[in-house]
Amino acid sequence: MTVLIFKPYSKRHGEWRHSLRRALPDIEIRLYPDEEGDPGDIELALLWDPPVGMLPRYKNLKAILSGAAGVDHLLKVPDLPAHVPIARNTDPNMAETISEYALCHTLSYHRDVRLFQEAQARGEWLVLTQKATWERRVGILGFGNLGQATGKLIAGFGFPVAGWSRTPKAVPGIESFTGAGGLEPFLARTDILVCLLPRTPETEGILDARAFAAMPEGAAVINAARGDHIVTDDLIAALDSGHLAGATLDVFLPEPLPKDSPLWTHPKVVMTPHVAGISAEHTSVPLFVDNIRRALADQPMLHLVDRELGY
Amino acid sequence: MPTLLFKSTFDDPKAWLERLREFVPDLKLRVWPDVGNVEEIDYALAWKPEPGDLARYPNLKVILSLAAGVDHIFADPDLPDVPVCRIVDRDLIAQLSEYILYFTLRYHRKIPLYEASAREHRWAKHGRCEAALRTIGVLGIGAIGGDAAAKIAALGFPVLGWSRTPKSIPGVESLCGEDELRRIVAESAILVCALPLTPQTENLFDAETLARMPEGSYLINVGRGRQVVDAALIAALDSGHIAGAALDVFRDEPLHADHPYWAHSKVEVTPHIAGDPNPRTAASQVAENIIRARDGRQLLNIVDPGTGY
Repeated sequence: MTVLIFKPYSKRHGEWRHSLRRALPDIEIRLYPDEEGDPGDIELALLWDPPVGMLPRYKNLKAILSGAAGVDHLLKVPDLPAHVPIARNTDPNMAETISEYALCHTLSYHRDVRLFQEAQARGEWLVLTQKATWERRVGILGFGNLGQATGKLIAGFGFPVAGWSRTPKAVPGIESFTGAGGLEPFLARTDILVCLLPRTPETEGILDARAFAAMPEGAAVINAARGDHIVTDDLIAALDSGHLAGATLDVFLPEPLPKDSPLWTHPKVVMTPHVAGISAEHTSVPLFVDNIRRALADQPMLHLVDRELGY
Repeated sequence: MPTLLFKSTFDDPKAWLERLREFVPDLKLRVWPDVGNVEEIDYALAWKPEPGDLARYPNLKVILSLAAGVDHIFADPDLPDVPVCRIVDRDLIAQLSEYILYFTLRYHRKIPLYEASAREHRWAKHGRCEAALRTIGVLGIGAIGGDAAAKIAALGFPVLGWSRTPKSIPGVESLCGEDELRRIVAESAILVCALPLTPQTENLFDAETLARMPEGSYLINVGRGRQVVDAALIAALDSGHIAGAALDVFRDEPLHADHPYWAHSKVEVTPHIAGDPNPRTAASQVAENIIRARDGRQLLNIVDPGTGY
């Protein structure tokens, strides 16, 4: 019997295993590390964040399925088997929950929620003039699967939306910026930035002092991608100088965020503990099953990772 | 020359006059209390007129509410017998929907809990709930609540909407009548009040209604302050039965400095900003009604004094 090793990455892994078993009755599912057994049995791996030394022992490994949308957790492992194909998780629930999170925080900046919270703390009936959505430009940094879902949702509320990506993307009603040359003009027209980039060597530290300076005065940043994208000291400096109005951060370097990080209680930072995108068992499992069937039939899996590009 | 009385201590008469003149170039504006000759006033654009004041203008032809609601006008016992029109502005509706959607998502995504964890430097995940498993209720699904309900439904939430008469809104289960009011109150994890203030909706959120809401549910009020019995809401929040309330409207506005809402950790106070009629977008329909009144044509968004909206 074909064996799949499952390294749990969710508290509800029991339910995930149950769904996988039901969908794949002919495949034995072993939990890592307790049920690993003979490493030579293992042909498939479903996981997040493998430890060094785990994967090279699986001499018969045919396919690696990432539990997450990003695969930086795999590509950073020095002993990742070179010739085993990797598939990303394109769970539609991830796109729905990430775009819901981005919409929530976009509306928060659009409606000056923090200013009203501060006014409430002072007991002040604050009078502000509300901008219209068409006066608030939203920019989606990283315009792939998650970025496009988010951009379309936010554009539906009347915000002018632009996307930035490595290669041009044609989405009706959304302006597309590309490549290194497109980054500054993209940032210069962005009042609310939503970062949904994959983590690659090119995108590491992309949101630094220079990027923040290119954004308009009073802009806000929402990061639901990876902590590596932001140079934290530069972000804090841009918030403290008043150039940026606020930042909403769901991802950090490292996670969990260390207790002594200034981000926890910075007055202009809203933080959540990596909960923006949620992959759900009922929407992920059918994608895993499809790719497992393909791998076992020696057909190419869907949503294969290009290791050079990093996604 | 058409003369408009402007009465509001919250809105900027200059900005309104500028925009109104783009449509009615010869419009004259009198800013209350400098009303001049009372016989010259043709129209009144008003937010919370002083009781009895509008009866002073013998040639008043129409009262234009400077808001979507008109309770602030019908509160006047000496209101002259002329048509009252309300603002039904697309941008005003969009603004209210944004507000409702933000607070719905804020509660759905447990942002207040994450804010509290962050203050304690605590990395704690507060569990997830899919939109499909959280029922949102919208009381009042007319122009405003109906738009918000449709937008919430489009995000995948089951949505119940309640109104006096049945409505047809995609993705929204339409409820009406007393029995179904009990149902929407009992089943909504987040309950939005977008009702007009009428004798039927005054004090709707009393101890009894609040007790019938689910344990740990949330209230968002963009209707009117007099629909909530403040002491009952505070008691329900303090007991933990209601998890939080986002309140944009209050019995007395501005909210009194020593009101307990200001410092309550489970109350989000916003200063009646959910929908702010903006002269840039709302002036055209006010001007349209001035022109229609001048020409003796049918007015837009005229209020039925019987239902109060």
